[in-house]
This record gives sequence, structure tokens and C-alpha cells, in this order.
Amino acid sequence: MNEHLDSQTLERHIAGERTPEAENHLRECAACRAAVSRMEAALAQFALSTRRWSESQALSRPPAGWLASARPRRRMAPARWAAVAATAAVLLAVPLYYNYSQRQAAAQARADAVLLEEVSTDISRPAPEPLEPLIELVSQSNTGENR
Amino acid sequence: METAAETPVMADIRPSPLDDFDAVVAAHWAGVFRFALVSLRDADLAATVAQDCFVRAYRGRQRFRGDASVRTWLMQIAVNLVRDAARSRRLQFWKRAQDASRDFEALAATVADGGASPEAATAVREQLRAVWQAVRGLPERQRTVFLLRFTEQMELMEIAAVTGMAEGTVKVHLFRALRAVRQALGHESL
Repeated sequence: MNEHLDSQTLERHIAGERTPEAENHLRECAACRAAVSRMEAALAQFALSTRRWSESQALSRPPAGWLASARPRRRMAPARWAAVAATAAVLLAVPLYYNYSQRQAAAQARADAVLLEEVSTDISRPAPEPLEPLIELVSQSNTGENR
Repeated sequence: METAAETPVMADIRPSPLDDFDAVVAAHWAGVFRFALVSLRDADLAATVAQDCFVRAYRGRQRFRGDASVRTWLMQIAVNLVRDAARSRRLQFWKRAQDASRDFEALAATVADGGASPEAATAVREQLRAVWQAVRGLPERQRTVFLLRFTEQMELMEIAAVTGMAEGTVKVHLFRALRAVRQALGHESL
């Protein structure tokens, strides 16, 4: 049998780079086999200790609900923005239009009232305004005849 | 038969392993947190790294093409975050290392006391302490490669993908790390 495996070959073997030559040697050499086993056992204990240390920490599991709060809010699509703007425009336009029509109706009512007053004044006269001097003249002449 | 015109459409509707991201977090949080914890030896910082890792992965999930596994992709992000965290908080490193060593004393006892005799338990505890000290003293790249190989059980090719190093470079770092650990254990000669 050859000499024992050198350090480099042992380390390569333990790291996972296994050659047929090293495998053959390890099958026959108890001392090298023991060296590999000792090292693999130490590494396994180390891995186990990291696992236990990690699991003993409260933060070894994700805090409940943290991902939901970390998720960015979705941006609104342009079409949705357009729909929102259109709705806002309609909501704004309805009271404005209502206010405008109210004012229009009030102005119309005032104009109607003035017209009615004028008509009422006209009706209360015995004759149209241009004929009023003539009627006055006639009534004066009638008064003179009666005397 | 699939036509050229159909291919992009089919690709768009293909399910991604990241569709159920809550399941991704549940499956991989422990590994990311453990790697960050052992690298940084600070539980709060490790949790911050884990959270950042998953937030970045979530925001960049559209870029995941499935060329590598989800674990490889997440660990790639985690390795970069751990490196940044270690560099930005180097001044506080030794305080954290002292706090962590107290944690570790209690922990080593639980690993060593698994039904072994007091002598064997002491030997295991000493061995563990030697490995931890050796790992702590490793240069950053060697430590990263060592932890990915022996605590996360990754293959060399996967470590290369995670770290962005060539596979040959990964091997060199790993062999050097193993040599340092063997020397710390007093195993270097047969």
C-alpha cells in the first residue's frame, strides 16, 4: 500500500472532490479512514450546532404578517386614473349645474314678477298711457257742460 | 407542435415557483436566517438581513428566470447583504462576537451532552469551540464558502452560482478553509 493520503488530498476528499485513487486508498487504509471520519464528525457537529443555535432564536421564523406590510402598494393603472377623474368631474359638475339652474330660475322668476307688475299697472288704467291726456280733456269738457 | 408565435404567450403564463411567495418565505427563511446568523453572529442583524433578502426577492421576482433554483437565487442575495452588513458594522463586530459566544457556550453543551460520557462530552465541546474559533478567523470568502458547503450542504457548483466565483476559485477557498479548521482541531497530521 502507498503512503497515507497527503493533507491536500484528504481536504479535497472531505470537501466533496473525490477521486477513485483516494477512494481506493481509504478502503485499504484504516488510519486515513479514521482521519476522514474524525473530520467529518467535527463538521457534522458544527453544522448541528449552527442549526440548534439558529432554531433557538425567536427570529428563526419570519415575524407574522411582515411580508404583507413589506409589499409595495400597487400603482393605479392609467385607465383607472381616467375613470376616477371622470367620476370626480361628474360629481363636481352636478352641484355646479344644479346651482346654475337654480340661479337661472330665480332670475326668470324675478323677470316674470316685474312683467306681471307692469301688466297689472297697465290693466288698472282706464285707457292706455298715450290716451290718458285725451281722456282727461274729455272728462274736463263733460264737467263744463254739466255746469 | 409549438409555433414561434405561441412561445412567448406560453412563457408568460407558465407558473413560477415564486407565485406563492408566502410559501417561498416559509420554505427558505430558516436557511437564510441561519447563514446570516452564523456569518454575523447577531440575531437582530441576521433577521434584518433575512427580511431585506425576501423583500428584494419579492420586488425583483419578475427577473427570476428559473435558470437556478429559488434557494440559489435567495442565497445569492443573502450573501451580498451579509457582506454589506459585516462591512458597515465592523466596529461593533467584537461586542456582538462576545455576546454570541455566551449563547454558544449554552448551545455547545446541548450538542455535546447527547447521551455521551462526561469525558466525551467535554471532548466534543472542545472540538466545537475549536471549529467555531477557526471559522470566525477565516477570511470572508473562505468563511462564506465553508458555511455554504458545511452548514447549508450546497454542492460546489451551487456555491459558485451563489457567490459568483468560478468553481475552481470556490474549491481553492474551501480547501484553505478546511485546512485552517483541521489545524485548529489538531488533525493536520496522521
